[in-house]
Amino acid sequence: MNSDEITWINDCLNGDSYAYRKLVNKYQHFAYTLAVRITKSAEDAEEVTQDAFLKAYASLAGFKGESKFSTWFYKIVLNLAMSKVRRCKPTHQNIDDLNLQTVNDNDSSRKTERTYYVEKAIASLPEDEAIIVTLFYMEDQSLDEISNIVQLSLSNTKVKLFRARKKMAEMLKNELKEDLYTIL
Amino acid sequence: MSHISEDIMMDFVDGNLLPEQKKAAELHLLECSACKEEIALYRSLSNLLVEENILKAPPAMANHVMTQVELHHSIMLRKAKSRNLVIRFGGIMFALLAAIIGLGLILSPSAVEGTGFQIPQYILQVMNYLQSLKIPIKNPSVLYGVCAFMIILVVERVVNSFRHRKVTA
Ligand SMILES: [Zn+2]
Repeated sequence: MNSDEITWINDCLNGDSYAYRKLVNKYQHFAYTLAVRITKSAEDAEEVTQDAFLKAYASLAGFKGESKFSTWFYKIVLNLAMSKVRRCKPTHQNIDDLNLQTVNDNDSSRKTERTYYVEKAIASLPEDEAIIVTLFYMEDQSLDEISNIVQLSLSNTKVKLFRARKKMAEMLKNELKEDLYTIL
Repeated sequence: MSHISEDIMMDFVDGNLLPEQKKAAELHLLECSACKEEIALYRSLSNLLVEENILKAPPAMANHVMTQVELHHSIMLRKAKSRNLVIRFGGIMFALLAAIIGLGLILSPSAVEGTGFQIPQYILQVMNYLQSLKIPIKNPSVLYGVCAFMIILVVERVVNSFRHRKVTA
């Protein structure tokens, strides 16, 4: 595990709650993204992310460092987001209304267009495929770690990732046609 | 000539092929425009996802999280302090009670006639008192049980406080 992270976590455990800010800064966008992909709602995702950070802080002593902090933390995000979705029936908020921005966005409308396509394609996937594909393109999550997070076997995770990418490739091909190659 | 399968294409794009698999794929790509196009599609998809996958969290969120964390932290600190007090005083009270009852058991000289079993005066007095309160305790072993329970509680407290100290150290 990242040695910075180990230091931050130990500082937190020694009562320096401010050290937690560094973990929050590092993981807020990843956690929020994962939550959006599951809840399909910007407000719910924000609530879930905040709850996840608080829960992780409260149970930090239970984190034994057997996995990466990120793997452990994404599991918390995932569980909270899932139970949120199960609790309040999904409102099926339209992706158009979410008004999402990616971390790489500058102001160009082309960027926004690309974000929109990706969001739309991922939103059309079954929940587990959406989660797996999101995790796969996140920083340093191996397939092993992903299968640990989603609690599926490695081979099952691979199959679902394959299906998700195949579907997304089809969708993007149809959606963008010749435009695809020019905006990429 | 068979085309490159889609899983091989994805591994090709991810850079996960073995050298000989990679070479074979590259050879095929030299002469198959259909596969070349597919590979380009998967590569574009990967680039797109790498760049556009991560959404920006609302700017105020991190501050909200930290406010909650600080609040949680101070509540836990206060709770830990008061818990320590309760443990300390509770332990002392239990120890005192256990000591009083235990000493009474040992030092009291009286006996119940005809049973052959020594029951201290002290316990008989407690039993009489309880009966006057209309709490019907006919058998002194109940009181022995209560006494034993208290002693166990004290021991458990002491052991626990030692274990707790070890973890935080
Ligand atoms: Zn081919």
